Amino acid sequence: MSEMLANRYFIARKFDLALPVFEKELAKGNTNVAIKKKLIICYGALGQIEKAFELFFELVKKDPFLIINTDPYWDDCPCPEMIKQWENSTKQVGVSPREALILGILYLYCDLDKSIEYLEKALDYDEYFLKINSVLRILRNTKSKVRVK
Amino acid sequence: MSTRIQNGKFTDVILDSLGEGLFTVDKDFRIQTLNRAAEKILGLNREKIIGDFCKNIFRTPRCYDECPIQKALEKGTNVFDIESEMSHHSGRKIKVKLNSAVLKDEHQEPIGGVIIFRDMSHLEEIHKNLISRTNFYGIIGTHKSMQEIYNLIEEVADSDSSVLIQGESGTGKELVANAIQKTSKRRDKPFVKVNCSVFPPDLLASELFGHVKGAFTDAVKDRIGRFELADGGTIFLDEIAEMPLQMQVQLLRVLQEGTFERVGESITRKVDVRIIAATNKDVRKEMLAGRFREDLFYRLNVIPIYVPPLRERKCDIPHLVRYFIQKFSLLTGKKIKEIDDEAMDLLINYSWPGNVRELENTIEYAFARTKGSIIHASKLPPNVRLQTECCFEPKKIQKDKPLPVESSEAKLIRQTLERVKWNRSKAAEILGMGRTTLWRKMRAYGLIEE
Repeated sequence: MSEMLANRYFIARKFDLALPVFEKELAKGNTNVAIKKKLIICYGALGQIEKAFELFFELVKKDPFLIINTDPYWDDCPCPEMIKQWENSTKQVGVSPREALILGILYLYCDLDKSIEYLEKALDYDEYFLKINSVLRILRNTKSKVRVK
Repeated sequence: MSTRIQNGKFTDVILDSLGEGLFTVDKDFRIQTLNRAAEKILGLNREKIIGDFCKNIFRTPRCYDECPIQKALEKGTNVFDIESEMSHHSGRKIKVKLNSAVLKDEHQEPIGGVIIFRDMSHLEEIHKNLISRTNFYGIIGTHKSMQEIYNLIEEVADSDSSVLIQGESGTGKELVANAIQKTSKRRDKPFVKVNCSVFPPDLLASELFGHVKGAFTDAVKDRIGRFELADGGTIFLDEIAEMPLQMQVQLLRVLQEGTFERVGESITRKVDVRIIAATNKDVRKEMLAGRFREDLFYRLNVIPIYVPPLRERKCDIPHLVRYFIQKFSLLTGKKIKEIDDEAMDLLINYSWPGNVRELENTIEYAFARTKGSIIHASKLPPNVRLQTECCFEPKKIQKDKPLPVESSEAKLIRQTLERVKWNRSKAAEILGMGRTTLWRKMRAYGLIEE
């Protein structure tokens, strides 16, 4: 098992197969940011939202642009399709804080404003309030910097 | 530095000189290298695609389910000769055969992959062409007797009745059996073939019905028989007339009740098997001689099929010759396209005691001896040349023979043939018809010896 095989599963959208291989790579000490970004998506796709957020939190604290600078085509990012699915499933009953959290995470790969919008809705997720608030501070700060530029 | 660049260029030259397409990907599956053959086969421009994901370029569902590099990664070994499909830039599908390997660094960590592929469209085209020329599930023939066989096979497609195919050796009895099986409702079930003359009498029972451990000296473990293997499907018993009388009784019981016992066992087993039998012997004579059971004959002969010898359907010879020329061109890679008129006349007028099999061997012989693109009479086997030459003078007899009532078409054909000195290829071209059609019409109008 190798990072390359996990990448292969990832581009074939076999997230359940990719996830354990990426996890093993991280456990082996591989610090590649691309692995962490893909792992966040795998967790999200498989409904392990809390695990996705912990890793997301780690990357945003380090540098939010690690995620913001993702190109959907050139980085083969599946977020647009995943967002569509999540939004469709929440259309009827409204977005729960947990669902808002994953949408906030996924949107950061392609739309900063929408990410902030959903993360604000996720603040009602009591157990993660502090961490979400911290992420929001970083993102709002980043947004203002981007605007100034 | 310059040496490295030169080495890099040298590698590019090597890769571009390959006839097979080649590309490499990095560990993210982005294309790193693409040789000229790959560009040509896929209609791509390497400058535009280097760095892109391979799945975005090759756009096939197999990229998701059957990626050959994924297979190599999972297996830990290189993957060879996978039949697959790629998309040409225009969207056209291309059949390919490919090999894949994983590229590793000094720590044996995968860092990329390479795929080498061959365009198989050309062979596919030839194969399709061959198939389309086969008239009925691989049986070549337009003669009325053959058409009747095709009709019969189609009519009995829904039946489970036994079939007895009779015909001389080499007439294609096994092909007829194949066609029956392929058109039957049991086509997706097992099809087991047994040549009854191959096994010594004492082994045939074990072969057909199986045996249990210890049934005889060499029976070291239980073995399933051909009837059990064919359960739910069809069994083809070739050379049935060679079956010993004692075995015929056992076979009769399978036909009547569907039951049998393995050799050395008393448990009665039941199977549901359709039986197709074939023989080159005259079964009625065998019955009279006491070598074939009458009750078995009537059980088998529910649907009788007689495959005529080649000498009784000579109009099929040109079709068969053309088919075998294509077949051997494909197999040998020789660019032989046709056979000249004189050679065709010899083939048509030979008596073919070995039937289609002998004709096939004859074309194979001629292929081995032919250097150019046309098979000439001189390249045919001596037996074909000598037998035909000594008993037949094709053109001389017919050319000046007046026809009793000559139709306008016959007159036109005759005049055209005379104009081109009886060269059929030229005449066919002038008349705007195929050589086979011309030959058929010549025969019909008595312009050729039957």
